[in-house]
Amino acid sequence: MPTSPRPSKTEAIIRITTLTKTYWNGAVAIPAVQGVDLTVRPGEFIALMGPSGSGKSTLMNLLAFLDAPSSGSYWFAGNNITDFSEDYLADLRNSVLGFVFQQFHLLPRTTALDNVALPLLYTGVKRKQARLRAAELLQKVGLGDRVYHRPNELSGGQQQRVSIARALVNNPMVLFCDEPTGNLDTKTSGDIMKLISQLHHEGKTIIMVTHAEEIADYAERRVQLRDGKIVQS
Amino acid sequence: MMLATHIQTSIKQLLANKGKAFLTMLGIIIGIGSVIMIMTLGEIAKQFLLSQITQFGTNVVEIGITGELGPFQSQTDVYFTLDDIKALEQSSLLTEITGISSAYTLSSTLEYAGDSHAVSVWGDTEAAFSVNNLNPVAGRVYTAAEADRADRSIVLTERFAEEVFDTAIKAIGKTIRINGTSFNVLGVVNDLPFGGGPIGGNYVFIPLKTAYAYLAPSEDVNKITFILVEFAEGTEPAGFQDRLLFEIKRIKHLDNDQDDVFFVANRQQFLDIFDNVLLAIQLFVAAIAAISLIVGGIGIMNIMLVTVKERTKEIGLRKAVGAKNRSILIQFLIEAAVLTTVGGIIGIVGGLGLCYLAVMVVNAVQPDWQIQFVLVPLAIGLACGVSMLTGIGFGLYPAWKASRLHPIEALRYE
Repeated sequence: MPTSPRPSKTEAIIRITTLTKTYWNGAVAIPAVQGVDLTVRPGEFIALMGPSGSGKSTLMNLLAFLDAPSSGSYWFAGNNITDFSEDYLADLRNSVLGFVFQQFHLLPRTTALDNVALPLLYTGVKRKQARLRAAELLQKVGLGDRVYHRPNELSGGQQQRVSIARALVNNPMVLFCDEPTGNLDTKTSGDIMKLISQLHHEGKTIIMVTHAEEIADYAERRVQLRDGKIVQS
Repeated sequence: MMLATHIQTSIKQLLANKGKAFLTMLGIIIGIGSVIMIMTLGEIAKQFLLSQITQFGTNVVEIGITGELGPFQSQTDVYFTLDDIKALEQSSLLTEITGISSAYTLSSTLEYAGDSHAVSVWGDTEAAFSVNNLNPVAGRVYTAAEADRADRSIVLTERFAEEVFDTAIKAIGKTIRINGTSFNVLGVVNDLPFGGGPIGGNYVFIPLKTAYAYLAPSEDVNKITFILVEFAEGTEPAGFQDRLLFEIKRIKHLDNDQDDVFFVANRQQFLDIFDNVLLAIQLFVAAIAAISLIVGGIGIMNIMLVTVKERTKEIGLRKAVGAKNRSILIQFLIEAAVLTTVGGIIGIVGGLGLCYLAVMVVNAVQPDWQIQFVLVPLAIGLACGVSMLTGIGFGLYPAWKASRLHPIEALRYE
């Protein structure tokens, strides 16, 4: 388990300097992120924006420990992250991050309760305790009466609520949302964004990737990317 | 970690695709089913044989004369006579002898109430009954005095008696004819094991001297076809057999190296031979089962590769929320193992079911064999273990592939 002391109010929760990520397509280098500096303070709600190919998804993957940078440095909660091995990143994702995806990514044929409890099982929490915690969070996202429903018995908005509950189950330091309303209609999108805003008001640090202006309006700060660089922050 | 959860997930997957899973498991089912069947049937046959032979008595050596004396000796030179039997019984080297059945056998026709029946006539002393564990089910067997007097008494075997007289009791006191000679039915004894052996036996017993006096062609008189030497419990069979042969050669004035003259069989040897044959058959079927398991295993590998492809997004999600490569590897190994173990269990149940059916069929055809169905715990344990290991072995490559997936690519996989 990584050591991750909770940062003080003033300390940055995420600080990256000159971070780059280069993909190789055969012998051709594709610089997806080219020397990005960014600081995220605790409790901030940031919208990562930019046209497709701007590098916003790559940057989010790097910030969310889903990928290792090619160069640059990354401090998380005051710790310089130098070990980018798969196992260590898996531990970090499991213990300090939460994920909300555009496509929900719920396990089929599995109850909302067990979907929400899933990350805790990889932490080593006993199933019974994990389920108690999962039920608590389903209650919080307004699905207290749907705990034993399977994803195919839930509406899109309800599925996204389940996935938000799953993202919160390990009480993460940062919540990553990748186009959280991309698969939802306008009304449901509004409901989901209200829920995410509420989490922000409760003090959660949130980094959200979106291309929709009205969704980005919920965030307090926009980070605009173009050609792998931040053009406005 | 989370072993129970993995097993539960696997069973959920399996139940979601029952038809596909069954077809996938077919190779395993056949492989495990044949292993179970051959081991169980082998054990059943062995138990049956053992019960038949112990009923027959295992402490008996059978000695016949092959007549192969070599180029310079006439074939008619060597045969047993009653004097030889007496000499053996009195030998100081063979004090363990408890009885000798000395048989002169010939095929003939028995007539009763206008019907003819093919019979094997077994002329012997009264020792025939005790040595061969033949006990009266009706009437009695002839005594030493009656045998010595060459009485025209006859003892029938049970099944044959029932065939001719309906019941064993009805046969007692009746007069039957063999080759024109009339005999008085004195008693009926139980059948010889295996219904009298391959010769197929309507066996009837008459005193040896009676056989010589009324039925044997003149050149056969005083000749004994084979002897069955019963020895006391606790005697070491091999040593006893050596001494017996040594004494026979001495009595018959044969050279010590003229072993070819005799056909020697003790029933322990018979069991050993059966064991060897059974082992050979079992190894052969095991080889076929192994091929079936390999084919089944490749089927499992194939289906697991498809499963990993189908569930790429799930793998991506699991990794995103913190599953390490090892957890994914273990999850898919367990899924493969559950698949083959369930296949193995179906194979075990199916194999045992077929064995049970086979036993019922044989018992219906041969009611007097009374074959017992037995479970072989070793075979069941082995089958479970092998099926599980097949899953782990052939699931390794797909599971390894799953564990190597990159979380981002897996999540985006369409």
